[in-house]
Formats: sequence, C-alpha cells, structure tokens
Amino acid sequence: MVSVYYLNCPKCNFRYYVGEPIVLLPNFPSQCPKCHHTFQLDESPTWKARGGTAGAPVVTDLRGK
Amino acid sequence: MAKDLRSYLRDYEASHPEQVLRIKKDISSNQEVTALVMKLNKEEKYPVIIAENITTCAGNKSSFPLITNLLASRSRCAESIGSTFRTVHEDFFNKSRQEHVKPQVISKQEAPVKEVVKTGEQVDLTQTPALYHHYMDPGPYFTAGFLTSYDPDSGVDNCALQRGWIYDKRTIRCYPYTVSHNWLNICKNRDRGQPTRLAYWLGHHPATCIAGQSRLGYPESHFAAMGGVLGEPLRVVPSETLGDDFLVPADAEVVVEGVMRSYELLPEGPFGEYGGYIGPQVPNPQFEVTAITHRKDAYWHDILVGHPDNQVMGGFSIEAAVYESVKQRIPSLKNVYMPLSGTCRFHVYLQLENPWRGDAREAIMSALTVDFRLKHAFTFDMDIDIFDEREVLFAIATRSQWDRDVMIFPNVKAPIIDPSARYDVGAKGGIDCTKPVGEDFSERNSVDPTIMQSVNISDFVSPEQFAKMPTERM
Repeated sequence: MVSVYYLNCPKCNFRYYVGEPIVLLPNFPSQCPKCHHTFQLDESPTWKARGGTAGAPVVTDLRGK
Repeated sequence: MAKDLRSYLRDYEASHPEQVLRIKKDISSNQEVTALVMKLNKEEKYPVIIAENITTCAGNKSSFPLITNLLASRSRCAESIGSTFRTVHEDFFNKSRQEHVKPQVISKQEAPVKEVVKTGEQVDLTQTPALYHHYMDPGPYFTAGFLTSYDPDSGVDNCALQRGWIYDKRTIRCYPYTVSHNWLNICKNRDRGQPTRLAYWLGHHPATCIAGQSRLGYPESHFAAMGGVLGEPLRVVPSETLGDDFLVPADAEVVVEGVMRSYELLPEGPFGEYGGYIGPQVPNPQFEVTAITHRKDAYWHDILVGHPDNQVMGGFSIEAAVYESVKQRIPSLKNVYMPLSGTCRFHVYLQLENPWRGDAREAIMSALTVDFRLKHAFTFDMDIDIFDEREVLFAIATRSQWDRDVMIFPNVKAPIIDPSARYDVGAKGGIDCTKPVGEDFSERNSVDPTIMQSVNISDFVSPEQFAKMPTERM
C-alpha cells in the first residue's frame, strides 16, 4: 500500500498525486490542480499505464467504520 | 482595550523592531511569499512579515495587507502566551487546560470585525491575498483561518486550524480532518439532514491563535480556552448570516461565514502540509460563503503550513498534552520539547530528574499515546540539554543500546501526512537515553569547575579576532 498515486492530467498533462481515498472510492473523480479539469482516474495516461488499483479493496465510508 | 493582532503588533514592533519586516515592494501571492520565507528560514531568521503591496492570485492588487510568519519563532510564540522558550509545556498546559475564561458577548456596533460587512453576491474571496503556497496546490488557501462550528446538541463552539481552498468567489472546499471535532459536528448535522453553519475567522493576537490549537475534550469551548491563554475573556459577536447564536471573535481581522448544505465529497488538494511534504488530493466537502466581515484596514493573516510558522505553534498544544499525561504517571518528568526537526509533531524529548527503574520506558509509552501524530519519544537525564539537538544526538549515541533501549509499537494509527506511513497506519517507537538506574556510569569529559569558571575566552582572544573567527556547523 502506498500513500500517494501519481497522475497526469489528461488535458494539460500536469503531474500531481492523489491519496488512497480517491483511489478506493468507486468512480470518484480527480481534479487537476493546475487547470481544474475534472476526470475519472482511468482517463489519466499515468493511471492507465500502471493498471489502476489492481484489486485494492473498495470502501464507501471514509470514517473507516 | 481588548487584546488583538494590532495591540500585539504595536507592542512587539516597539520592543523588537528588527523582528518585523515590512515589505513595500510588490510581491505576488503566487508562491513568491513562500519562497521568501523559505529563504529567510534557511538562514535561521524568522521575522514577522507584513507585505503591504501584494498581488492576489487573480492578478489584482489586494486591498488587504498580508501578515505571515507571525508564529514562526518559538521565542515569540512563547512570549505571546507569557511563557519562555523552555517552559511552554507547563505554562501552556496551565493556561489552556486549567484556566478557562468564558467569552464576553458584545454588540455588532462595538465589534471591530464588523466595520465592513458584505453578504451574498457582494462577497468575492478571489480578491483577498490568500496565498498559493506550493507548486502543486490547486489555488489559494485559508491557512490561518480557524474553522469554527457548533455542536448541535450542546451548542458549544469548536475551532480548528483546518485548511480551506478558495475554490471560487463564494465557495470553499475545506478539510475537516476525520478525527476532528468539527468533523463530528458536521457528521451530526449530516446524519440529521440539516445544514452545517461554519465560519473561518483569521487575524488575532498570537495567544488566541495558539490557544485555538488546544487539545480539548468534546464538547469543550475553544473560545474559553483562548480566554485562559489570553488572560482575559475573548470578545465574541453574533454572526451576520448564521444566526445570533453563532458567535465569532469580535476582534478578529476577518470573518468568513458560510453554510454546508450538501455533504457531497469533492477532490481537494494536493496541499503542502505540516509534515513538510505535499499532501495528496483527497475527497472533502465544500461550503457556500454567505458573508465576509472585516476591519476597514484588515490584515489578511496567512500561516505558512509545513514551515516553522505552522509547525512551532502547533507543537505547543501537544507539548502541553504530553506534559499533562506523562507527569501524572511519572512525577520525575521535568521538561518536554517537540523540536522543529520532527516538525514539532513527530518527535518528543522528555527530560527526567532522578528517574526510578522503569520510569523512562513508562514515560515513553505514556507520551506516545497522547497524539496520533506523535511518533518517536526519547528520554534523557537532566545533564542533557534537550533543547539542543547536538546534546540529544550525543545522548542517543552514548547512552542507548538498541537491543535494550529501543521500544517499537507496530501497526498503530499514523497521520496520512507522514509519507513513510502505510496510508494511515504506521509504527511508533521510543529510545531510552537515560543512564541505568542504580548502576555506575562513566562521566562526561569535564575539567575542574573552578578552572572552568576562571578561564575566559576574552583573556586570550581579542573581541575583533573572535568576531572574525568563522563558525562551522558540524
């Protein structure tokens, strides 16, 4: 398990990272901090290249309960 | 006259003029202020910085001057609460935990923060000099803003320094961390299907800001704790748009009011955090701003998160909590220090006077349970100056054997801000660097005390030569 997951924005290619909760919440989008484009993780070339979360557990309650 | 940022600045600038840097030159909110502070801090200089001509992230000249680095100096922070560099743990514990003073409600006419009132469409947060701090941030953030909410059951206030991204003119995406009392209040409202009233207030006497970081029970009033640390009741005033029962500090520079109606989570961050690393983008809620009130010539207070400005003051409350917890069990505890090298969160140094067998290890265990951010605890004897890290590392080097003196507690809660943690789980540990109890132990190199006292550098080296002699950090 890692703490950060790098992405490249599919629109402006800015490289940044997201945390575990964004990766684990089903269909939760990311938003590019540079151009503010909102997209699904699998639209990011970086994400596609690494093969997504590869079977990580799915959570729905961020309080961890 | 009530204590506020202005009264503090007036007195501090009069007594420490060399410690206040007023910048007349144009400077941008977009990372330039951060760059300047980083360079000054690298030189071990921590002045209060007031940028009088600052350009907003939207590219306009701000009508608010910016004040930052106010809380970067441990000596300055300690003095502001009537303490000293070395006695923060005990003084802050006494003032914030034991001497609470109820806030005083005043009328809107009397409240300086109501000099300018803007509501609804009049509000435009993009015109403030809120800083864009680090390159990966998504935009300008509130960092010195105390996010305030009320417990819907008891009506008790809660304040916390929690970041808020100024998403647009009237929207703030905030980070009410999930173990915080603000989050509890938000969850209570969410679960009852009702909106949450929130306010950010910023710009106040440093003692108020430091007290705002107090670790309190739930529900327990931060406004009362602030009064204890300030030494007088915090003056509060009814909000403009959140009802008369929603009170905000009357002597703040700026108050931003708003309502969280939807609890939908949205992407927020990345953001440079207190651990000194850029924290990842995470899901967080947002709220709509309903009003901004401020003084006519308000200062916009910023805290540079992840730098001494934020690390030093945040450590005070943990030092006090460690002192409270450990002292109860280990009366030989004398001093507590959370150094900047551990971002004033991760390392704690405990100094014990004549500890008995087992005291040091018990102190380590007690300290590590105080705060989930606290990661490493070290115990030392009285002859080790725990406020000097060369001494600390000397004691680690010469008084510990790691097969005997290291304690490790794996798989416990960790802050996600620590990049070495496995998301929110990590290890805590401690090293007992005290001498063995009841056993002979080698003495440190020393000379006869009378000879030590009789030899003065000035008898052998001229002041001019001494001043020219280079220093070297090793």
